[in-house]
Amino acid sequence: MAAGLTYEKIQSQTLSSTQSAIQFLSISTAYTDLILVWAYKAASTNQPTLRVTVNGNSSGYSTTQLYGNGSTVASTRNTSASFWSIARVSGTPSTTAATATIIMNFPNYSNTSYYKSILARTASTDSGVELDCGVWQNSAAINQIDVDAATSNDFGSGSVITLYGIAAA
Amino acid sequence: MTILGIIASSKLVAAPPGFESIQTQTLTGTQASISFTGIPGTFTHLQLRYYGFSNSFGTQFMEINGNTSTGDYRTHYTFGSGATASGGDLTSRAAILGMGYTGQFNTTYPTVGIIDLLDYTNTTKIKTIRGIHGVDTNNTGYGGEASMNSGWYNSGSAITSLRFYLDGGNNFTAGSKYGLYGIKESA
Repeated sequence: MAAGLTYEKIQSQTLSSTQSAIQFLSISTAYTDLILVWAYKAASTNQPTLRVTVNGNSSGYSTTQLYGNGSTVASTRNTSASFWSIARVSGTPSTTAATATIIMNFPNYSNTSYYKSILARTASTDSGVELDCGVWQNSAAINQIDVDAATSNDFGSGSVITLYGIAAA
Repeated sequence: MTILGIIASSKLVAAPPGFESIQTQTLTGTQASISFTGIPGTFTHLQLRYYGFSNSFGTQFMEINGNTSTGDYRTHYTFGSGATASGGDLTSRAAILGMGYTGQFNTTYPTVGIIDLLDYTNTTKIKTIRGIHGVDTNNTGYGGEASMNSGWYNSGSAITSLRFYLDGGNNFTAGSKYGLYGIKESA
């Protein structure tokens, strides 16, 4: 019944200096799901929202956030946006050199018939936790992922960002 | 050479840990439910990853081992609707809530989720299952939801089958994709 091992590393980046953006290009369509795992280190106090786009496209995104910061739990949504908003309220640090864990799932990313949805979890040492789900109203296979922030040089040296692929039986 | 053969067959050589695809179901038409049966007991944990559509608004449930006793299931959940956050404790259904309080399965916007079933072969303790789920419809009228659930299955039996269904008699539709994976420890 089982069909073999999967969950393969596609590409990994370790930041050796402060950066404002990261990018994964020419992503293979050989998998069923993608998982972006980011051991995040902050280079600023900005606590940035991570702005995620795919395929160089800047339209058709919407994201719903569920978050808690230790005293309140709440939910927000930003619709008809030019990017997915990940860790919009909680989940990236507001302290320089503080860390966070960000795991973003792209289920069924290589299909070419339906919209794409994502699920992301974020957790930081000082801002809280957040669960995000989002949609990209486009049926193209995802072959590129870009992440940046509204402010510059937020992603610190020592951050490790790895893209994995999971194949279906 | 004989000695090497003995070592291998005795599993003295450690097997690597692994994440293995067990079975995937991709719907090409309409189905009332999606089932995984005969799940092998050779893994340590299971993970179910789904991407789904339905013919009409539907809340998803997960039934285990064909057990339809209401008293054997319970779900705690918290969700965000995009405007408010809330939660609850569901004890009235003969299945674990998989998704769908303010955002439900629909015809157009994929509902997605990841469900972890730890130590599923254990036969001496009840099972606790966790899931994260979500659907965003860009405020088009279908609603939306990001949710986290924990499910309690009051049975000491190993999990050998899973059945997903939607309430209200709604059906899963073409394009839905459910993948079951097994996670192995190092031997």
